[in-house]
Amino acid sequence: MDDLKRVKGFRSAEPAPDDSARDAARSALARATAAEGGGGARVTRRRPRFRVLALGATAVAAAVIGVSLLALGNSPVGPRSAAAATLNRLAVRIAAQPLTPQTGQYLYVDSKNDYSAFDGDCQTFRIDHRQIWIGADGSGLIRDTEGPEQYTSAADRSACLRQKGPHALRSAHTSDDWFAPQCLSLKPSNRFEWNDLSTDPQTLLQQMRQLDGGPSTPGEDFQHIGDFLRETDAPPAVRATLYQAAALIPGIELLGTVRDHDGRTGLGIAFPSEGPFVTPGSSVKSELIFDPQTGELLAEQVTGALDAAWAAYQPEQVVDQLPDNPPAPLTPPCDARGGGTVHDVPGGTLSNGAPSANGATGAKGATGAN
Amino acid sequence: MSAQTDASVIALSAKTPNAFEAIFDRHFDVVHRYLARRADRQRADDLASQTFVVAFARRASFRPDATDARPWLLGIATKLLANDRRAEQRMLETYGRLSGDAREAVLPAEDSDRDLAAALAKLDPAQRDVLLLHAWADLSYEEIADALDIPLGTVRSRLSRARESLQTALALPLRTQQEVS
Repeated sequence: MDDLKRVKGFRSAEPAPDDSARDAARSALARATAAEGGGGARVTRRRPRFRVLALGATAVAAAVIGVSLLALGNSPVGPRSAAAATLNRLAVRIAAQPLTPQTGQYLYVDSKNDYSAFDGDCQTFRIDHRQIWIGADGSGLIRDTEGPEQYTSAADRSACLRQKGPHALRSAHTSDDWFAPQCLSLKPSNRFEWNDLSTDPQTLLQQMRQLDGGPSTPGEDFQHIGDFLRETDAPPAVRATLYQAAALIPGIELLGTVRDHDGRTGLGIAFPSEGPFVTPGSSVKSELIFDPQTGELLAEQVTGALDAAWAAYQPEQVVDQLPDNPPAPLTPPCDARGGGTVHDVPGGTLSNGAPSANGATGAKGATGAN
Repeated sequence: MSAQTDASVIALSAKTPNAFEAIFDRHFDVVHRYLARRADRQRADDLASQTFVVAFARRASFRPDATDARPWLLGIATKLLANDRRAEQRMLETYGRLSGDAREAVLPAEDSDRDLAAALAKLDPAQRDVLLLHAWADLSYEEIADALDIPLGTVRSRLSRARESLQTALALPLRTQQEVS
């Protein structure tokens, strides 16, 4: 037997890892992703909530939404008639919004998201500014400006140092993702087109359950509504049906006028929620806040929970141009990221084989600082 | 997700950290098995876990044109092993010293090659890394070069010297350079 065969045979009977080892390693990785991704990973034991960007027909990309609404189907509380009536009125208003870009135009979506990260007793957060330009041809740009990671308090800083020892907080960072025509859409799933959705609210609820594959509880239905409404390029008619569908969910309640983290006021619709960081018996709500004039979703927030989180949305606009030119020509077919290029700012890293264009977007690092 | 390449999943994880868990699902067993052949069980468990945490932290360094993450992960695992080379050395030396009866009592037949264990223990660690990535992880020369961040020629020369040392130690007929590489 030659040497290589003998080496290959040596200790070849090592069995596969134990389930306990695999589980422990998976948990360690989950803690790492949670520390970086904030809300998305820290609720994975229940059910991860993602904001999925559908990229073309086959490609999928996802961006963690900072707000993880964890509404798990509590029993309905209180009459929903006032909340339902409000949602139906908002549906009429949103249906009249001029939110659909024409050829050569872009829908501009702007949001700030709180990304809180838990790792044992160590809690940090950062504010993420996301800007999206999506053209009528499905081309566009996602500019993501991560704010610096921060401790929530001096006590948290002490807890983090005690638990993790000296460690570096993530610094601010901006990245640009460019997308070729037909490569970007903001649907929460690739498995449908906006015009596949029913304009019958009850049927739409069923469709969302099928797309998501989750349990059909009122809490899940409420979460689906948020998933489909945030950072969306849904046509106004679809949004209107989503509001009407929300009105059918038992357990929703009207909060009246509430204030979001930007200090703006809007009409709040809430659903009682649970989560892994919720003190038993405490009153925790997942809230959607709407502009009473336009009907647009202004904000989301979870209140009353240890993992309280929020996102605030600027009114969507239709604009005539992108803020910059892409660093390289963008042409289909879409690849896994959307057929575009990724440009970390600063650093000038381009991926997907696009030629380097350092400096082409170098000024973007200053964009959208929080 | 299952149809996506490792590169696209890792790119996705830049925005969606949880996506990286798909890399774990695809490669954990392979990485663990490799480590378990080079370390005791407990240490293999720890190092396999560390490999994925480190890989996640360094995922920006993953080459987007390298579709398979396995060499990259095994490279990280190998570098983690290098933090305590003495442990592997001790394990191999122990295997090499076991008497026939004891060896048969505690080791499966595949592990009972005492001479080989002793020969592996005497190898230069860098040569051993290349040899075992090739023999146990089935990495190609190019993949080993990527995994360890060393030139392809270095892979060839280290593998050649490792095999030459083994053949000498095992009293096997030396192969020509062409046969070795």
